[in-house]
Order: sequence, then structure tokens, then C-alpha cells
Amino acid sequence: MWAEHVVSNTSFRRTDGDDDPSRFSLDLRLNWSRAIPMSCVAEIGLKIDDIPVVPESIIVAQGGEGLRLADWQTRDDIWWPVLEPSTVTASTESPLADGMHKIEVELRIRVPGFAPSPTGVWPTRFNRVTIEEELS
Amino acid sequence: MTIDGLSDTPRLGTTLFSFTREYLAGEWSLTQCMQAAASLGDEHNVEILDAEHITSYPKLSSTAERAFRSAVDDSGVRLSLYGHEVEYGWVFGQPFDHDRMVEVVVEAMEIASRLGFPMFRANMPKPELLQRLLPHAERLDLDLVVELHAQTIESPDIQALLTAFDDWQSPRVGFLQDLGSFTSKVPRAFLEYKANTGVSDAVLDLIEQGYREGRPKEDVLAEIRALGEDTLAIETTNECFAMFVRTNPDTLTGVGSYLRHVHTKFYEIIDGEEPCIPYPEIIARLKEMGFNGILSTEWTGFNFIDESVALQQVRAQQQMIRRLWQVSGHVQR
Repeated sequence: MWAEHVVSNTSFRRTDGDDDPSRFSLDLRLNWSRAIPMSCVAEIGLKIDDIPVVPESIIVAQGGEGLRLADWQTRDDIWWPVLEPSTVTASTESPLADGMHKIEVELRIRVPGFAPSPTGVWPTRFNRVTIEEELS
Repeated sequence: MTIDGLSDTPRLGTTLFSFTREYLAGEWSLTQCMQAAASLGDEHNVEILDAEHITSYPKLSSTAERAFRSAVDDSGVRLSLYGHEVEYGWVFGQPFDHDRMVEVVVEAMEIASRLGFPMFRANMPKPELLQRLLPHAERLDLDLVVELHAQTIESPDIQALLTAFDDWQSPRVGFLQDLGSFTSKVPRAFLEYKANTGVSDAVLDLIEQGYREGRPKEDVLAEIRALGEDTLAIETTNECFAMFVRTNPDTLTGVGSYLRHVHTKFYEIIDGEEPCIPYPEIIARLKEMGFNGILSTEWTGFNFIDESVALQQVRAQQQMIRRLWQVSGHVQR
């Protein structure tokens, strides 16, 4: 419950220094009460107005670096602190108009403090949040 | 203290984890969390969770250290326990080997010592790993406690640890008992929250009744599957039986003199009582045992109650504990 509360303020905006009308940024807070290494961010899903963003376009910025999620998977040198957002930048298939938009965010993280199962399955924490924010 | 060396006041403290909602929502700073804890009593002992409250975790930056020390100084709290969670790995498919696991814990112990904590939570999965921490505990002047919660004193792994404690005869090691181990009923707020997420009343009734009657999770799951319920119902059942642990408070006696610290876990105080954990029985048992460690309040109701009521709840719970301690009779410390 608190996680939805915390994740819900995304500061949805057009990406700084980018004239592409389909490109946007938002701030994403961690859905866990302990910092995690960026290597533990398992999945980020985004829909704008019920349409998934282009998955390959998603860049996640933390600790001064912006990488695709796949490239974060071995990076345990940069951590996501609980009080700071990661900035997610992505593109929609079509240009984004000014005005209100429905944003769906999915975030799944692996929890380093939970032991993996004998078969190697690592416990995760998942949240899906749907909000409306204005783009201008 | 009363006459004859008898005490009628418990040693209370607060885990800052209780204020997670306020802290993570940005409503309270770390200093404000500590000030809230300090407002609860004269001798107020504060426990932290490192990965939550040390902003540069897993390292201690000079900025984070200054901020932490400033919060302690400004609030006047006493530091009690450094809450660390043993981590099993940071990269998928590459779990820590034992050497790396110990190394990461020792780094956290260094931080705990530097910040002035006297006690460190080290939930090492095996006695031989905990034993490797002992020289560091001596060097850093830290006591090490292993938490009993999902794993109770009756669990085989913990029994092995108990045997090891007997062998080691070290004053540096002991147990932290989380009173969530003695949850006898599913909290009302949990059921309400789950109802709001779409879990049916029929499923929640089965979960509530099954848990209260002490039935195995698999039996409850079988009944829920028989109703043709969906994944959400199954997940809710699993979550309930993982989050709440039902054992008999009599098992506290088995922890004996190794009991060093207590998480006075609670979910919601209603009319001055915690309806889901048998506090009168537990407090009486702790007094019988002559427990003189810290009763550290841990409120986890923020997982189901989306209101900023943490301080009100913590204060009410500590009032309840003071009252129960006084009426439980006088025991010499």
C-alpha cells in the first residue's frame, strides 16, 4: 500500500533536451523499503493511455548513468536508494499530445535479503500502479 | 525501580521501520523519525534498518554519516540495534558464496560500530557463518543477535544455533525475538486491504478462520482452490501465512537466557489492545524470565493502513506495554 503511495508521483514530463514528441521521462521510486543494487531491478513496464511503450526505448537512469534494463543486470556497483527516484525515459509509438494521460507503471525487483529457492528462483516484489498526470 | 530492587518499568524502544510510510513518502526526515521516537519517553532506544536509513547503503559516505549523527544528536535518542538483513546475492544467477556473504556482513558491522551501535542483527543461515563473525564482533565491540520470527526457536536450524551458542559460551551472541511469531489472528486491516484489492469475502473468511484455528496453509489453499478461486486468492493466502506466524508464546521459555532484544511487533491497537497478538501472556512471560533487554516497538500496520498514524499507533502500543508490565507483577532483575 505504501509502495503505491510512494510510486504514484512520477513527475511525468517531456524529456529534457529532446524534441521527439513521443519521448517522455518520469521519476520512479523504489517499491521496497530497502535500497537495492540496480542489478536487482528485474522488470519495468510502462503503458501510456493503455498502449505499451516501445520496450527497447526504455532507459533507466540512476547514480549518474543511464542504461537499458538489460545492461543494469550485472551492475551491483550502483544502488537505488529508497529516498531517490530512478528516472525512466521511453518513447511511445505515436507523438504524445499535451494534456492528461493515463500512465501504468509496473516494477518488479529481486529482493537481495530473500534467499533464492533451491531451483534458483529469486523472490521478487511487484507493484503495478495506474495514475493520471498532465503532460505539457 | 521499586523497593527490593524490583522494577515496574520496561525498557522501551522503537524501530524506525515503524515510520516507513512517513519516511518514504517524504513526510518525515530521518531526524523527524528519531524525534518522533524520542517523544515517546525519557529513555528512548532507537533501532534502524541500514538499507533504509543509511542513505549511502551499502557504504557509509561522509555525507550520510554526518546526516545520521546529526539526526541522533538533534533528537537525543539512544542507539539500540543496527538492523541488517543478510543478503544472498546482488546479481541474478550469482548467489553469494559463504566468503562473500560474510564479507558483506562484516562491512555492515563496521558501519554499525562506527555509528555507535552496541548490537547488530546478523541472521546468518548457518552457525559456522555466524561463528566467523565473532572475532569481528569482539574487535568492533558489537553484540550479535539472530532474529526469531518466521524461524522460531523450535525450527531445526535455530535448534542447531542454540546448540552452537551453548558450545561457544560467548556473551556476544543471542536472539532477537520478534513477537510477530505469536500472531494468533489475521489483522482486521490486512483483510480490509485485501478486500479492497478484489479478494472475495468468501476467500478472506476461509483465510481468517483457517489461520485463527491454526490449520495448515495447504489445507486452506486446498479449500480455496476448490472454490475455483484465482491467482489473487492463492497469492493472498500465501502472503498471509508468510507474513503472520502462529506459534505458542510458551516457546519463549526455550529462548531462555539467550534472549537479548525483542521486537514488540504489532499491527493495530484497537481500544488500547492488540487483538492479534496475546500481549498480556507474552509480557507476563517476559517478566517471569527476568528479561531486561529492550522492547523495541515495530509497527507494520503501514502495509495495510494508508494513513499517517504511525506515531499515534506506536504511542498507544507502548502505553499498553507499560500497563501490562506493571500489572504482571514484580520480578527481580
